[in-house]
Amino acid sequence: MIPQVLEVAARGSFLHKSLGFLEIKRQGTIVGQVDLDQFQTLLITSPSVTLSSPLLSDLANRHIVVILCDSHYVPNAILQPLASHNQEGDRLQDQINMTEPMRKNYWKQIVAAKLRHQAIVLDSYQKKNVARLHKLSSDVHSGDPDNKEAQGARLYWQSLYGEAFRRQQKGSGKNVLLNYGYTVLRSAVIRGLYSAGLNPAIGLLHSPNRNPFCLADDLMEPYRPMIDALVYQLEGNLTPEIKAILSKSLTIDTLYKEEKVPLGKVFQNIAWDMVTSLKSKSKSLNLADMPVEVSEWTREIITSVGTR
Amino acid sequence: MDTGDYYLSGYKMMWMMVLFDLPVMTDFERSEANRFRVFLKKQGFTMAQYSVYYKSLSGKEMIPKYEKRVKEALPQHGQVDILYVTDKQFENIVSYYCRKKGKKRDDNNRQLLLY
Repeated sequence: MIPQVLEVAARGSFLHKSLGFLEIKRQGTIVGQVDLDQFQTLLITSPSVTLSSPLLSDLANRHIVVILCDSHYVPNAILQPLASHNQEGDRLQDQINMTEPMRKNYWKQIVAAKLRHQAIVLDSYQKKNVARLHKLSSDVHSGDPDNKEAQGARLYWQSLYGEAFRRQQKGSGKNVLLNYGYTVLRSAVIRGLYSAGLNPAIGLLHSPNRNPFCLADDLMEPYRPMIDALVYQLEGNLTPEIKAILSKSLTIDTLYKEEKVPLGKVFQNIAWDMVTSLKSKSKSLNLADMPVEVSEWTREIITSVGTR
Repeated sequence: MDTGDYYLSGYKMMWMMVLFDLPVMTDFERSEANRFRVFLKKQGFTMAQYSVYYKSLSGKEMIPKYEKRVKEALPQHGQVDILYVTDKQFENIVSYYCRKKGKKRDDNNRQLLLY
């Protein structure tokens, strides 16, 4: 499995399975064939794409995450394989049996990591509020009852993108780039969960009432700052180059148990660890650390795409 | 820090090439040869020439998996060779078509495929 992202953005595309390939046709002519072992995410961003059912079922068998997006690049549907794992029933029971203290402790660790990563991003761009975010990060209590996450977010967005910036899914400018980056990130988390047989609908704090992928949204929180750091360096519309840069965020090495693991793969490790934690009723969750040399890896990714 | 190099590196990515010379004198031999070609396509191999098929693998660790599959699908007769080259080596292929030099191969080492 080569961990690539396949995006279909052109109108009037027809996608079907042809032997071991996903074939893309437009107006009856073949415009591309992609080996089904070659990508891990299929992103449909065009408003008029037709998909065949044998293709969809084969993608589900291969645990390829299929995401449909609205015009703001916010995912609005995801194809979920029914039996993604032979231990799924077992895992589901463990997830349901998750106790309130476990849930709250996991959430505490996620929020603390997110605030710490936000501080690292601000620090490397010489912004203010670094110390305050570090302080918030070390003060998070179990379940984050006083909502340090929201306090941090207010400071963070203002410091990073300026007073005028508002983070809104339906917003314009940098918001669209952020949506795209988060969508790519979310697909990696969902794949990680499927590979460990975890059900993304049973989350920690995000409510399943309005979101069937809340566990994925919980686990991606600490890594959103990595996308924010990349978007900080980018300007303008969502061009193919910028999409390539944002997709490449999955190649950034995070630090997981003192080992370098790329972001696109680390969620498999995190998910497997979560399985162990759930089984043993442990209150601790192993999360990966963001690489601290922010200006270095953002520059490297942007130049590597620019030279192609 | 070598970010992309670890994940989608041209030195780590491998191309698996299956080269074969199969007899097609009898109906049985023809159907065997055909079955083998369809098998390769189902596994995601692309035809380079009539009896040369290739597929990209994310790294050396994928080799045993596909080698085993090919071995199990071998036709009754004829010769089949399997060859591995890294993406970097494959990138330097020199191709001619009707005496004209073909264009350089588009590298596979990208994170986003956009259609």
